[in-house]
Order: sequence, then C-alpha cells, then structure tokens
Amino acid sequence: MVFILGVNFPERNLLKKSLETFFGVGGHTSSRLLARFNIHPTCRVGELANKQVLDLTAVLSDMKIENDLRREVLNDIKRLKETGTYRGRRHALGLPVRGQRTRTQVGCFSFAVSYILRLDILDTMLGVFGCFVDMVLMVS
Amino acid sequence: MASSWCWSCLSRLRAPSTPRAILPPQSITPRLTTASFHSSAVQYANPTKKKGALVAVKYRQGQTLRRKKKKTTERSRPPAVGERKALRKRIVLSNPNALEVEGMQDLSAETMIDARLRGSVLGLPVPMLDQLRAVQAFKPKQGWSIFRRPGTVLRRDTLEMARLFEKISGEGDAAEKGKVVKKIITGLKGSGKTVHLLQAMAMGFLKKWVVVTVPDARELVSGDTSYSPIEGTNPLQYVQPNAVSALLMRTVEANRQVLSSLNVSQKHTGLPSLKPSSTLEDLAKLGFQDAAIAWPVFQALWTELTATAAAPGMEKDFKARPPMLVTVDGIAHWMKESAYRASDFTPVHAHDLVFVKHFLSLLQNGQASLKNGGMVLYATSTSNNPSIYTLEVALDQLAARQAGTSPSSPDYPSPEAYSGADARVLDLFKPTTGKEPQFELQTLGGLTRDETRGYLEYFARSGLLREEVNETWVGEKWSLSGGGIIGELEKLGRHVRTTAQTTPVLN
Amino acid sequence: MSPRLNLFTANKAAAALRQPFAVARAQRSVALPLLLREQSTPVQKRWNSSQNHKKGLSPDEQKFPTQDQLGHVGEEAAEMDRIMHKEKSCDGQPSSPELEQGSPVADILKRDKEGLKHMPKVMQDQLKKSGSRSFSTSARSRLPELQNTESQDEISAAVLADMIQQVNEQVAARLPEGLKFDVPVLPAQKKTLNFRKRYDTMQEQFTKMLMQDGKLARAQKNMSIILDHLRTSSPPNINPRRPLMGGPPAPQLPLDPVLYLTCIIDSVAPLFRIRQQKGIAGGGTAVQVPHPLNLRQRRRAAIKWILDASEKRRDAQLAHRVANELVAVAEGRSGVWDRRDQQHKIGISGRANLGLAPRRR
Repeated sequence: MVFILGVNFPERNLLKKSLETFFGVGGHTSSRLLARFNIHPTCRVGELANKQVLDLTAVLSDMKIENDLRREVLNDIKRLKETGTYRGRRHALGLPVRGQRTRTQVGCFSFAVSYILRLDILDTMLGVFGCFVDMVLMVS
Repeated sequence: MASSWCWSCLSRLRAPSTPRAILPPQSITPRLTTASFHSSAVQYANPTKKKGALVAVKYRQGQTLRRKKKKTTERSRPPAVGERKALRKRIVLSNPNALEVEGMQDLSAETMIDARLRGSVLGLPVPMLDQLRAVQAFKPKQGWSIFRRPGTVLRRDTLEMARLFEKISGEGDAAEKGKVVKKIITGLKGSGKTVHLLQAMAMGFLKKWVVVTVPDARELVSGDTSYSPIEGTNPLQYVQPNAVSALLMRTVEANRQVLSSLNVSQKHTGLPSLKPSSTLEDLAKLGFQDAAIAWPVFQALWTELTATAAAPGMEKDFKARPPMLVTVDGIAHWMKESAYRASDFTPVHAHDLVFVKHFLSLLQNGQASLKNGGMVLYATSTSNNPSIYTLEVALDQLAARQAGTSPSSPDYPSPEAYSGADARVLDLFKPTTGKEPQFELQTLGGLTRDETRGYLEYFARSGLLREEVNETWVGEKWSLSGGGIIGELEKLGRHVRTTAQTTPVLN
Repeated sequence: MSPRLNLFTANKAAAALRQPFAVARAQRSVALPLLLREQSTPVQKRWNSSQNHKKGLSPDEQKFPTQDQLGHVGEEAAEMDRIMHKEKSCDGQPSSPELEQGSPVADILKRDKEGLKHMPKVMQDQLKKSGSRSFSTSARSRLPELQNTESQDEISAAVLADMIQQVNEQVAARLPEGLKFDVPVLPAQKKTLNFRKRYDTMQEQFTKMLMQDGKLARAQKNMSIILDHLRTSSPPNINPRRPLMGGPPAPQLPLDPVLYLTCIIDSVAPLFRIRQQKGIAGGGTAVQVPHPLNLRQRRRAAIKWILDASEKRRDAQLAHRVANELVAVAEGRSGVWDRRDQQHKIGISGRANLGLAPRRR
C-alpha cells in the first residue's frame, strides 16, 4: 500500500488510474502529472520511488482537488441561486440547466438531481465538520 | 307520542347490517350452481368455468412464453495475476507425439556451411536451446510445438549467412577477421525474418560469439518500462534502467560461458564496486542487481567486449575478445515517436532514448564500435507493425543505392513534399562515410522448390502430413504459398487436409 | 500398422465398390501412356467416328490428371492381408509415415519373404529382369512417369502387347455399343480428391457448432487450438469398457487429430433420439419412442453433449475447455458416456412402443 495525498492505494493498481480517483484529476491531468515526473504511463503504484511519491503528493496538495473543488462548485451554484439567475433557478428545481429539452427524456436528469443532492449533503457535512473543527480549536 | 321513526324505517335500518356481518363476503364462497340440498361436497362440484379463464392477466405482463435463460456456470476465481499472460507467451518446443525424424542432422559448424544439405531441416542442438530461450529467440506462434524437436531449414540465405559467420570468425579460405557486416532484413509476412535471426543467434552460439539481442523492439518505446532523463544532455536523452537491466540479464544468461572466461581489462571509474580481477559476468551482474546503475554497467560491458587491448597495468590476463552478434527484431518501432513524454508533455522521439540510440548508431559506426568484428542484423516485422512512411522511403533509398542508383540521380527515391518525413530517420539511413562499410538491405523471399520439398518432407517425416510428397504436390503447395513463403508453407503443412470421404448415403 | 494407413486406398476401394465402371477406367489408364504413343488405338477408333478425337483420351481423363487413381488389385489385397493378419502383433508404436502411404506391392514384398515366394508370376518375371521397371504397379506413382516418356522405350514388347490386349478387352467389354460420341461423364464420376472443401465434414460441423454469435473465423481459430491440443497432448488411456469406435490404436491417434476427433465423436454419438409421442397410450400421456438418427444428426447430438459438458470445466479458454472434455471422452472419464448410455437404455425400453401408430380421431 502506498500513501498518496492521504489515500492508500494497493501496489498492483495502475498509477494513472489511481490518480484519477481524486475528484478533479482526469485523464488529461493525470497523464501530464506522470510526464512531469518522468513516470511511464503503465507504471504501477508499487513501482514508484519514495521521492516520486513525495513529489506527486506535493503537487497534488497544491492543486484544487477533492473537497476544495467540490466546495467551489457548490459555491458557484449557490451564487447563481442567490443572484436569482435562470441557471440558479434551474439548479434549484433540479431541472436541466443548459437549455436541454424537457418535453421528453427527462429521465436522464434524475442522475443530475441526485448528484446535486449529494453535493448538498456533502455541503452540510462539510459545514458540520467545519463547526467541529472550530469547536476543537476553541477547546484546545 | 309516537316517535319520529316509524317501524318500517327502523327495520330498514337494521336489515342490511345484521346478515352481512355474519355471512362471509359473497365473493369468497364458491358459487353453487347445483341445488343447495345436493349431497356431494362443494369442492367436488363441477365448476362452470374453466380454471384457466379465471386467472386474470396482470397489468403489463407479457403473454408470451417465458423460457428459462441458460445459466452461465460460475467459474469461481479468475486466473491468478500474470497467469493468462504466461499462457499466452508460453513457448513449447517439443511435441512428444510427433515422430522423431530419422537422420536429421544438428546445426553445427560443419553442417551450417554444407551446401549439400541445402533444403534440409537441421535440428537446433539441444544444449543450445536454453541459450536461445534466454535471448528469446523463439516466438509463441511459430509452430515449434508440433514437432519432436525444434529445427530450421537450411535455405540459401542461411548458407550465405553461415559463410559470413565463418569468415568473420577468421576460419575458412577468405577469412576477414574483425569485419563487421550490417544488414537490415525485410521481407513479406511469414518469410522467415525472425527465424533468420534465430539462425544467426544459433550460429553465433556455435562460433562462441557474444550474442546481444533485442527480441522485441516495441517494448522499448511502448511506454511499458521506466525511464529517466540524463542530466546535461542536449537534446535531452532518456535512459531506461529496467530495460537495460533485462538486456544484461539476457546477455549473461545466454553467453555465460564466454563472459565468465573473460576478465575486466579496462578502468571503469563509474563503477567503484567493481574489483579489478572480476570477470565480465560479474560486471554484468552488477547491472541487473541494481537497475539504477544498469546503463553505466552496460557501457562498461560494451567497452570491455569491443576492446582490442587491455588498459595499461591490466594486461595480466587479457584474452582476445570474440566477435559480437547484435540483433533487433521489429525495427520499425524505433523510427517514430515513443509513448514516453518529456516533462513538458511533448512526445519523446525513439532516437532520444539512449538505449535505442546506441543500437541504431551501429548502422552508421558499426565498424568503429565493434572493433573485434561481428554482425549487426536488424529485422523489420510485419506483425504488430507501425506503418512509417519515412522508413519505407529510407528502405527504398537503400535498395536503390544497392542497385547502383546514385543519390543525385532523379530516379533516387525521396520523400514526397509535405509528407512530413522524419529527418532523423532519413539521416540514420544515409550512406555511411569514411572507412565505415555500407549497410545492406536483405530481402527474404520464398523458398525454392527444392527447399520447399525438403521442408514439407520434414512435415511428412514427423508424421504431421499424410500426403505423398512428390513433385506435383510440392509444386502445387509452392504456388499456393505465394512462391514458397515459409510461413504459408507451414500452415499448409500442418493443415489437416480433408480426404475425399465417401459420405454414407443417407436416405 | 493401422487401418488408418490406407485411408487413401480404402477410399478408393470404397469408390470402386460404388462405381464398378471406375475400375475399368482406372485400369485403362494404366496403359494410357501407351495409348498416347501408339496414336492408333483400334478400340477408340471404332467408337469415335469424329476425326478430331485423335488423342484417344476420354474427356474425363484430360480434365483430371490428378484424378483418384485406383491402386492395383494385388496391392489392395496385400495391404488388406497385412492389416488383417500381421498387425495383430502391433506393439502400438506409431510407425513412420512413408510406410503409411499406400505402399507399392514391391515394398511390401521386400519385407515379406514369405510373400515373395507366392507372388504372382508376372511380378516374379519382372523381378528377374533386373528390377528397373519403367512402369509402376501402383497407379498413384504413375504421374512422374507420365512426364518422362523416354523410359517407355524400355518396356519389353511382351509386356506391352499384353497390356494393350488387356486394355482393349476391358474397354470392349465396358463400352456400350452404338455410341457415336464419347461416353458422357456423369458428375458423380468427376469426384476427385481435390474437391472444393477446405475442411473435413466432421471438422466443419464441429466448428459450426462451436461458433458463437456467428463469428466463424473465431470458431475456426478455436478449432485449430483444439486440434493442436489433441495433437500435442499425450495419447489417451482408453478405458476398456468404453473403447473408441474404429480408428488406429490409441498411441497413433494424436498424429491425426481430425481422425482422433472423429473417433471420439462417433463413439459417443447416440443411435437414436427419444421422441415423446403423445396419443399412443391414450389419456394424454407421452410415450417415449426411439427415433433413428442419421450420421450427421448423431454427430450433432454428440457434439452438443460434449459442448454442454465442457461448460462446467474450469479452464479459462473455451478451446481448452472443449479440448480437455474431448480427451476426457476419449479416456472414458466424461459424463457424456453416461448420457449416451441413459439415452440408449430409455430407447431400448421404449422399443415396444415402436409399432404403435399414433391414434387419430
């Protein structure tokens, strides 16, 4: 098991795929990351040298990924809602935002809706977590 | 005073409530069509309607017959990691069911140059098989597994090559010790390019040469092995430590006898752990124990093998170095950009990989590099082959030069304008200058009819072919195989032909 | 040696049995070079009034130079004799393929000292004449000789005359009288070894049944893997209770994988299928009636059983599963045999129902 940015990856896994498990790292970013540290595309997690792991972690921690990115997305949506734009309304209603047809084939949006809901839940959780951290800080 | 309710009203109120509460609901009890005083029990009475008609079709239920789906049997576990690949790459060299071919001779220093044996199949010596396996000379789909023991046809090209081997080794009449022959081997699919390399390796082992091979050029550029940049090179070059380490391992495994008899004769400042009295085998072993120093070790090994004299102070037990055989299979992969990326995400050209560059440079400075002589054989491949326009042009140019066309003449092939030809590839194939001998293009064609006959007889004598091998039949197969293309002949030979069975008359 | 050795000749024998006319044709063709040289064959002239037919070749001869030639009768007999009597002492070792080709009688006699004494007088005469025969007793090895006509000169006059006479007699006996043109060649007589089928009938049927989703090329690839597996795996230990039908002894089977496969399939093929016939016994009960199958149907049933049984195997590849199942059948380990026995048992018990015709209203 190798620790990259606080996540444990089995040694057998492909490094590229492992990096892509982070929210905000896709195929493009991961291949660029590999190229940046001269790691071959089919490298397994177990083949990494310690220094490479540290380098990767350092770069990943500088990037806006995972919860930071999620929060940013949520904030953007929230801003849209608060300013009362059409897009904000569509977001609030859980309907397609980008001008898709809603006369038919609305079934596909259930996924989008559930995704938004998940984000919302996450938001609350992050909020709670934030309070918790504050409390801990206050106590200590 | 009378109440406002009259009796009739009261009775009306009571009437529906009492009996309904006591009696079960009507729908549950079976309706009796017979008289109520019938003596038979209710359930034996004939129903008026058939039962099936009573079953209502449920909402949105299909009325077609639903068949049971075939169950797929569960294979509990997938094969272990690497097992499938091992199965795919497995090389079987013997079929105990096939017949031993009587009187089959082994490949040896004498038989390989014997023109009388042309067209016959010579067995590969059994002790050599391990060496050939070590250099990965056999490929999985070459059909070695159907014969008793592996053997190859002694064809014209093989004989010519054998004579070259003899010449360079310094034997025979026209000995040219220290000469370097460089060849690029092309040919149609199935024309025996890889087996030609195999024969070269076998001859190299027979003559006690040092054999260095790259069995699959693709592995070096497909991005499957680690790479790291070499600091201070311009343009930036890359070393592939694991690939070099594997090469060292192959070389040691196959040439153990030769390498262990030679001692280190030069000073290698980059390798402090090397003792002055150690053999070349120990030197190479350093490389595959630690991949990080594999490249310096390889360079050291190369200088040792190509040394003509010992460094001052180390002459104590210096032995003359044997000639070297260098083979690469599937050279086209080295003529394009690799799957590796530079740190700014630009693709790395295969010629920037230092391993590849080292071997390719032998085409231009083979004589200068291999001072003890030897042979450089680079074969193209037709299976899993990238199509590279520049390489085609370069090979055409090479063929034209060989045919005597001068590079300045208008007939000399050149890449089309705007075709984006790769200048580095064209540069690699330009004619050599100075004392350096030119490299040649060798195109493998089909077997001659006599060779075909010998080859097919080998099938028949192994018990795989149940035909009478005569002129007519051989001629037919020779034509069918596109003029003796040996891969096609092999297919024809192993193909179990239908015999004209009289199918039983069925009425 | 095994019966397999003479599949070629056996084919010919079978063909000869079916078409008595072919015998005459083939024997005539023995003397064909002579006819070519002589340019005047009274028989041919007699029946061909057209002057264009100078060559003296019937059209079928011209069209099919590689036509299935019949072996000499003596050769057949000798081979059969060898198989029937000598092979009893066969130790089961595979023999070399040269021997397995239908060998000329001379070769057999070379080994067989006893036969040498009893061989036909004509052959004894030839043997005395310093051996260099210019013609062959084997019809198959005639072809190269057709090409070098020079050797014809060495034929002794007596033999030549004898052969011409023989041929003439036979042609005269066979040709129906009163034909103005050549005897027409029927399509059935055109059948040669080079008929346009790539694969053996059995192999083709198996391949097609192996096919999934209509992917024939993949099925063929799998088939070749199966055949290679049969070719390279060790010879089957045949269970004496479940022997393979026909074919050579077990050690020789892997050398001819198609024959091996055919043996396996034919051995487990059921003779009949069980039909559930309603309306015989009355009361709507189905009665099991055996129904005979033809060869192709029998094989189909067997292949289906084998493929079904191979589903339960553990190997990753389809071809390996099937190949292993085939070997299991050959060694009598497979459940397919039980299935066949079961089928036959039901069939035998259902024999009584055969005569009953379904009751009609």
